[in-house]
Amino acid sequence: MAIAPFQPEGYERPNGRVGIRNHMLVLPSVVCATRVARDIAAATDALAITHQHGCLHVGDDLRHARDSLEGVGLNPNIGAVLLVGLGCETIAGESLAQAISSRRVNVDYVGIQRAGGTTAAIARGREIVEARLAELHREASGIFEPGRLLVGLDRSDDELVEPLVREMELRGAAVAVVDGARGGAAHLRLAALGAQLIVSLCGGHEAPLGFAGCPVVAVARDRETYTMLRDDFDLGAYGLPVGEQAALVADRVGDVCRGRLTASERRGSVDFVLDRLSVTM
Amino acid sequence: MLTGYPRDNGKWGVRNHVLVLPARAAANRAAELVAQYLPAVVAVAHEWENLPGDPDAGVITRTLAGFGANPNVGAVLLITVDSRDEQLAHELSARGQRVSVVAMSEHGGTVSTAEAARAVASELVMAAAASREPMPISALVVGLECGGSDGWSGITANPALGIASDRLVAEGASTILGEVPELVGAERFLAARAVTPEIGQEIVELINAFEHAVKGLGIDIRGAQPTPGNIAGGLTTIEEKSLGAARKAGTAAISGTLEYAGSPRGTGLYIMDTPGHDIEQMVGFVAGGCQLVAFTTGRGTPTGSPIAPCVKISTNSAVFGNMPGDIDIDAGGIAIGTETLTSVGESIYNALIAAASGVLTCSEVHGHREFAVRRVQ
Amino acid sequence: MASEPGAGGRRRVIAVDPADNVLVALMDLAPGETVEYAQTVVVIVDEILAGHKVALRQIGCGEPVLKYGEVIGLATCSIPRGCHVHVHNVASARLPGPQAG
Repeated sequence: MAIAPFQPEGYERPNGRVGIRNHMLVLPSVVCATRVARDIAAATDALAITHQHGCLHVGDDLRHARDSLEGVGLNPNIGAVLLVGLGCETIAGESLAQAISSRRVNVDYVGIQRAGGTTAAIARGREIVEARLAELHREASGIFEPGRLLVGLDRSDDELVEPLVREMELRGAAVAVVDGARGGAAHLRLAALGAQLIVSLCGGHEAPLGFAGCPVVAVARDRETYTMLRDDFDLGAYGLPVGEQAALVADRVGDVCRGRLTASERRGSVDFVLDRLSVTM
Repeated sequence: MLTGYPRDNGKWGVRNHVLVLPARAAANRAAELVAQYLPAVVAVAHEWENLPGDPDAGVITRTLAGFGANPNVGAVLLITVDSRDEQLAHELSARGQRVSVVAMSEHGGTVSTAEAARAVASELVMAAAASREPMPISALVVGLECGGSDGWSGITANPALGIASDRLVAEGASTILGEVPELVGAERFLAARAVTPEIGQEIVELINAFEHAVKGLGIDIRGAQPTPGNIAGGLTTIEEKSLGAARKAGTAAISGTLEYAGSPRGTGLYIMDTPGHDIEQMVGFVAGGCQLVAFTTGRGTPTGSPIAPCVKISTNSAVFGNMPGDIDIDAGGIAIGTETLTSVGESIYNALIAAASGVLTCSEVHGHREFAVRRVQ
Repeated sequence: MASEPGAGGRRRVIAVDPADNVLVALMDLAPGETVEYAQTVVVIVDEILAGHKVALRQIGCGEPVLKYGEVIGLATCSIPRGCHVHVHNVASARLPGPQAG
């Protein structure tokens, strides 16, 4: 039986990438800017990430945190980024904005100290986001080749991984499998790598997470886990031969990359978990 | 007059929040939804997943439990995923906190959990309702913090805060100094004030341990300590930042050292092992029992705590004028001679007592509720 | 804390401790301006922003820089009187980073 390739639908980016979503992301460079970022997003139609980092990192941990924040902004599902910085943080918001901009992603910057405090920064951010969103809403989507789709798998130690990778490749998509990170940290790596969609395999009472801008297809690997949190899973994959399970997951991936919302998108989970490589100073 | 909320365990709160606490990151969205449904409660979010084998499980559980058990919290609604998260409920109860648990596994998912939790949360709000009463100052624990420091910090706002801290300690209250990385170079200044030689030695060891860890790892801390903002503000080295930072703690005798999120056993001035990271530090202070934080800033930091009022003091008048509505008190007049350390110290003391007694601080007005838990592994 | 009033009556520099070999600028200072502290006249060499430090006397390479009456770092080159004292000519004596010292 011939397997039909994915027919993803999405948005061409100026840098040649394609996204299956078209989000405006409000990204704080530092925990001190999360309140302003959230208030801007809440007043508009944008997504905001809340995180706890951005200052007093050192060494490899600094590079990792910086690369992760930059990668989230570069994810092809993000049509435009508003970087919100404070002004005195270690991972300077303005330089992060420049790094993202150099990769031909639409990015604006608001610094809270320079803008004149919380209220002024929120007002300035809202103006920018509303203007950018108006541009994003005018963009038309189109069908693109499945080879431009990168599907992320959040673990390597599950018997479903191999058949799933095969199934995705048969349908024309590229696959990235995370090794050496778990849970939310794995999702962050995949999103930063440019995956437009993440498949999360959860067993043994693991609860699924979402990710800002990147749909997570949450797959329960056993009946008990599925029953426990049925509403938060997109599907259960167990009890059938693994080849059939892989086909079910791939079918759902095909739907999600044509616009079907995942459970995490419906409930609005935008979890952000950064694995730290050394302590904060 | 200082007023607050007496608690069954003998402590006093200066706010009366109902806190919705997710036991792990997968419960963040449910907690957030409860707070959207019911604005009378406050929710926090964090990044801890409670994955099996996490070496930081102990310190994080202790921090979350201490935070939830802070006397500013009248009741905690703990959102768990399943029974693996019950340890946190036990720790909250053991500290004398009123806690209700809603498990996501019993409701089939995030949204139905939030709906069920809403009803529980509204019951907790009613159950925790209380009136303010005159509060003994000995029950007050104030965190001393600086963020976005500059060349003025050690000359204006920090020594003025030190005067307020000395007065609080003299009147029987407690204050806590943290940010061990920002005490490197100030150990002689601090250890000489310890109430016993042993505590003096503990202070020196706390600071040395940090310095040795940094040297042992071969990490280059330049760019992190001092931060780019500190350097732009005129601070050159960690020693210079430290000598200015330590002035927040005035001249009082030092009663002891505390681990991260640890609680003082007596009253007086303590030093807590916290990082310089403003929010990890503030969460450590609040988890250790601080009901109130005094926070000096040179570059302009708007942040606050989800459950504790935070009084902001600018080190220079330019930043005070540039960030209207974010800073409670300006200490900049000390540098130009329109104010003195004594006059600003008194203003800070009065603002702390007023904030404790119910006056909203700038960060509370804006809803600044930043949250971050220190990892040690 | 000690200081000298400027021409307009407003203090322009302070020494946090009498033992210090740097002054802290209370306002932006331009090259060529003079400030006086404890009978020492200092001709400003570099632009000094408010809150930043200026050398009260020459500080030799490797000599301690004193503020609060304590060592805040070591000069990495000779710093003439009136020059800006900052990260370009001072390093931490405690945590200088792997490239330094």
